[in-house]
Amino acid sequence: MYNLENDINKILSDMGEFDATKAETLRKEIVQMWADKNLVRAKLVFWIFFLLSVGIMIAGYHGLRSAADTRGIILWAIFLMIGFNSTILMKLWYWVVDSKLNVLKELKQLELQIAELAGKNTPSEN
Amino acid sequence: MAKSRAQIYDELLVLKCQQGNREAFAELIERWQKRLWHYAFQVTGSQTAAWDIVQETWYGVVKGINKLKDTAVFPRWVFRILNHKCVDWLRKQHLQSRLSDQLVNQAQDKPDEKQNCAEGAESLRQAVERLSPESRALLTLRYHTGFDIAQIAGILDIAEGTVKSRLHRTLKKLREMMGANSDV
Repeated sequence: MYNLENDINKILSDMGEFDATKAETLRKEIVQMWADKNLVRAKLVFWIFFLLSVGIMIAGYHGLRSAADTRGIILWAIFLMIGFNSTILMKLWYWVVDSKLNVLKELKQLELQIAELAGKNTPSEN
Repeated sequence: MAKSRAQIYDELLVLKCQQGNREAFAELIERWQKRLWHYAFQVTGSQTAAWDIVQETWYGVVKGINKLKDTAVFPRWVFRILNHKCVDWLRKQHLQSRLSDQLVNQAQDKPDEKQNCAEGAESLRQAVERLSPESRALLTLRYHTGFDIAQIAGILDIAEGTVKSRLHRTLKKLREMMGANSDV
């Protein structure tokens, strides 16, 4: 950056009064909102999966009892098993997503350490 | 291009947010709030409006951060949301048409204005203040926030060439204004 650009940056930074108190209040409000939203989302996902699993199991059970031939019994038994396994599938899905994020996080931490060793920029703002 | 430590750290924070880490989200807000506010302020010229826009931007972030696949695009993404909110605000204020008029008028009239002002930084300050909000926003993205041309093009939804030419025009206009100021 040459001088004019530095001066522009300085002037733009000085323009307007950034209210730190307001920033802090807003930050707390947004974080709380985000946490509430995550909780609602988690509850929603749980109940959808739960009701779906129970629904499949009930339907499977009734189907199994009313099935007349062997083919029908097998199909309804499979359906019932899917109902049982859906809880496992949900946990498996969560585990896959969480593991993916963990691996990415580890990679970023490594990248960060490499950058630190290479003596690049400080972690502070621009 | 090699990423800076700050960029990698931001990406790490976004990943932590996606895992539901509250502290990471708070830190992310802390790191970006000021830059967002400055941009909104340069566009709107109003501190209150800038705060409202920043708040709405964070609402957008809360909604979408878990769906963000590439964490490296976080700065561009958040500024894109902010820019859309700013444009919405300007539309509401019926400023859009006036802005382009102002831009033309400033380009034609301002360099001829003779004003009493100090040299150097003060002259530059006055020149920056007389720029259109659009131009100030562009300067904020480039020199205050430190985005490169490609990132700015992505945020403003325009071609890289357009960003370069607008930036060039703005700097030229600034120099002309400063020249006019120092002629007094």
